[in-house]
Amino acid sequence: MIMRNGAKITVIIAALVTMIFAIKPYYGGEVTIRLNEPANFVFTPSDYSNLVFYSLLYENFFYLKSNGEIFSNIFSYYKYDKTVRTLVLELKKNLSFSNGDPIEAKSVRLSLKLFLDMKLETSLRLGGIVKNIRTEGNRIIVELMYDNPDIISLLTTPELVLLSGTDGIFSGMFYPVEWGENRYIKLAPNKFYPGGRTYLDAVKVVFYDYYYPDIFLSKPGLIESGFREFEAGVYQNIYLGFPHGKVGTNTRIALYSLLREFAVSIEGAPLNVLTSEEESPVTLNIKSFSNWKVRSILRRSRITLYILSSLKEIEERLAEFLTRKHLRLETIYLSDNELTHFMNNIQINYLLMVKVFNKRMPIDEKIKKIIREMSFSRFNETYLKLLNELEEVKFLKNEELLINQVTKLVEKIGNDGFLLPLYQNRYSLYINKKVKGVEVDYYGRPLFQRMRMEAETGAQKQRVEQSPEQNESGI
Amino acid sequence: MKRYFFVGCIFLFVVSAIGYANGIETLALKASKGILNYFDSKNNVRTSIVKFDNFSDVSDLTAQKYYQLLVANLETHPPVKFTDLMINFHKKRGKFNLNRIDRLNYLIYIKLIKNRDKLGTGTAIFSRSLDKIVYIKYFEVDFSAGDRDLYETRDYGFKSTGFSRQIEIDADKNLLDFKSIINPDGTYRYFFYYPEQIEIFKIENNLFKKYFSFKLEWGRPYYPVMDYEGRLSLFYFDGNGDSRLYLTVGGNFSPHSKVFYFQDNQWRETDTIDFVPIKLIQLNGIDYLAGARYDEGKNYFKGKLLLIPFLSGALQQENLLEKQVPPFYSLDFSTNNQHQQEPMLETIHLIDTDYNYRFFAGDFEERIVVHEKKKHGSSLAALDGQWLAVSDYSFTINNNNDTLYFYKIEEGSNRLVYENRMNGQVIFISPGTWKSRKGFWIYVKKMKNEHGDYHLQFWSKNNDNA
Repeated sequence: MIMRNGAKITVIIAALVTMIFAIKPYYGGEVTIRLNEPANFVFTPSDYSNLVFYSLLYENFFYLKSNGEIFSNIFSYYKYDKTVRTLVLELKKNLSFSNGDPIEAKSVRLSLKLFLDMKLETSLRLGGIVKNIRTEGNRIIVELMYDNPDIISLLTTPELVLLSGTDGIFSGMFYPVEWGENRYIKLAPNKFYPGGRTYLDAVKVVFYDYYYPDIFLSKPGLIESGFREFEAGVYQNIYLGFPHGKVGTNTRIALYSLLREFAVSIEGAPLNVLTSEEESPVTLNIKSFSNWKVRSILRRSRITLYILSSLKEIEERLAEFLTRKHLRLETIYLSDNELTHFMNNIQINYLLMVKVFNKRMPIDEKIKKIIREMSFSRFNETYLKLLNELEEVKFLKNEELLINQVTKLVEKIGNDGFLLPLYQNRYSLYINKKVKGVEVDYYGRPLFQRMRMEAETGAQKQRVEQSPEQNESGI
Repeated sequence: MKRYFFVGCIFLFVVSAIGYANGIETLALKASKGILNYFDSKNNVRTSIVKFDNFSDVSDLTAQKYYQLLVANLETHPPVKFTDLMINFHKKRGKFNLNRIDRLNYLIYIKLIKNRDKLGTGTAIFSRSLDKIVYIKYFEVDFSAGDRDLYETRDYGFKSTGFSRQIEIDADKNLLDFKSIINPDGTYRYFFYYPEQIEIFKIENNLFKKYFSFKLEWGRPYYPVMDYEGRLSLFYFDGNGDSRLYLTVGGNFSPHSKVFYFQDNQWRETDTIDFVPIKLIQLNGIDYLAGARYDEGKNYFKGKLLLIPFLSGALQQENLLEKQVPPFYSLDFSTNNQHQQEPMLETIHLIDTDYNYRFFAGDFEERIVVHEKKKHGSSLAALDGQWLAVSDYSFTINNNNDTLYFYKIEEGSNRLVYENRMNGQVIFISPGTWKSRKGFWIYVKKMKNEHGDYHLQFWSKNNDNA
């Protein structure tokens, strides 16, 4: 009984302590976030970490909250008129980019066009609907080819952001002020941010094992006192792809076997399906070669493995692994932007890729994403036909038929062998309890707009001022 | 069995609370009636309590509450001009501002004593013209140890005599400021300041009726904000032979504030200023528009007061004065326009960004004020150099109830007199009037749903009139 009362009192005191200073949100403080280092500041959201990073620099057209609510910080008004199949977006007044340049309707039009040019499933889908985009004063008018009441939902995709068209100008909450390569990027608040000036005075994004950042991504179930765990709601699959297709089966399986072993060595969860074990109707049983056979095949092959820069974190460990195996592979890291350029000019035979999937996304959407974004030159009439059939089956709203069609597609991908699933990373987002106001959206991405530090009392401030080194170390 | 015991305790608590409140109020009522009866047949009575000693065993807090009740009763009798001169009450003795004693013709002495289980009060009135004590009376009431203990644990304002809520009206979200003004023809106008428009109301049949509104166009640079903050100031100014009504508005979303004046039934924008005006004040005989700058997009002002001379209705921007203060959430200039026409600066009250109440004299020098309670409210407002209202964020489980503290600031005093718990969170406090009554307008957020309900309340003393 005494214990129970004690616990109650503790809960009450904890509740009271968190309520102090709640009447005025505290402006100030710095939050440290540990992410993967981006290649540059050009918007290239190739993996989950990058998506989080760029969400600090670029503003989305729309946000979709986990409760289904849609909101925008850019548009004061939006309406879809199904009779004329037109979506009207009206810009808020007096908005500016981070350098004070006005945000105009033409910036929105440009951003939308750039998004439609991206080789993403969502942009391809939207591209299939949009007939024309024009501007009238501070209005953007999107004409559709056919009626689609879900048009606003489609615009909530995290990859659709407001771009100025000029490097070094941002629309998001923060803009970069300092980059210590391989160590950190320091961000300052954008005082023109359309969603309202953030509470924080700075965000430091770190790329090394900083002990402890305020926000970091890690495996689920990590027990850290002083941190809250949020399920990210996404998983990230790593695939070995053969874009050009002219690679022998033995070499494919040998490289696959080698990289599977590497995945195990870095504690990646082996992946035997195209999406995730719990939803996939088909498991791809790819038999690995023995170490001896792998070595004998790869020794004689001259392999250049292209790796997306979002996987740069594995660079050192992969090099060590290959040295240990007495094998030589040439590895080239390249960004999403560079990939398109390389594909057009060079024959890429071996490619290590990352794809992020929202757990809530239906499996048929995931399969479509895989085919559209990773089949490259293999995308042909057969796939187009299968995808169209998938659309038709979906229209019938028969779950059994739908899964059957998905199975056909998975089988086809498996037989063609241009894509082999290697391993999967699952994330939880860990947030220091002193950091308040972070939400996770429908897509599993943290929303930092209302992020703030718990207010410091005068005495705490004094202590910090007296010992800046201790504060910097975070210990 | 335990349950019955608990209910019994509550019953005892309620009974003794009622009994006690009656006891101490009765004592104050008896003493004030005696004093007022004595003054009944007299003309031009100007009086104050100038001595108050507590020889009983009640605490300073209890004695002070008794004093508040007594003063409140004396203030409600208009033929008697009673002035509250108490600055502080400490160690069983009241401290009074005796500089104004020459203006009084009767001085009142009060003492509290204990007579067995009863609490008694002795009252004496000294006539300055006759130079002798002209009235002595003693009253007492029952006062048990249980009553005393109960009183020590209670902390509340006396509704009948202190500040209380007079009206409550619905308001929209993002109301930044609210002001009221009496027109030269005696009518009242009420100004609601929202980020993009001003709405002006009048009273018809006891109801607010929208009378006029106009849009506010803010240009670039514009800082979108998460929490809108802003101030509106309103004043009549005599320049060039006529009296004009001026209105200024500014906020944390724009570096420029707007100045309007009313002419030919139109609001005309006359100027822009690069700080947010808070009030027109007078310093050394010169009128200044005084204010501060918000930290861009944030919810607090930077630590600097800015004053622009306002001569003949024109802003002398080149003669800007700057005075250093800490960064603050809320600030008000206390002026003495209660007695004079010109709003001469007396004191400056502010709440800094660490939620500390700070107090500056008219010469902008900070004075040290120690309040007995650490408060966390972020709003304050001064009313004609007489009262200061300060909000406090309450430490309750359902954190929707703030407390209002009312300090007497007249004659250099800074004494907590009343406190009232209220339903909702205080967003801002603004001095003003409701009909003929002076008091404070308080913008309150009540958390009835996810987004909250917003209301505007008027709080005043029942015995204070404009």
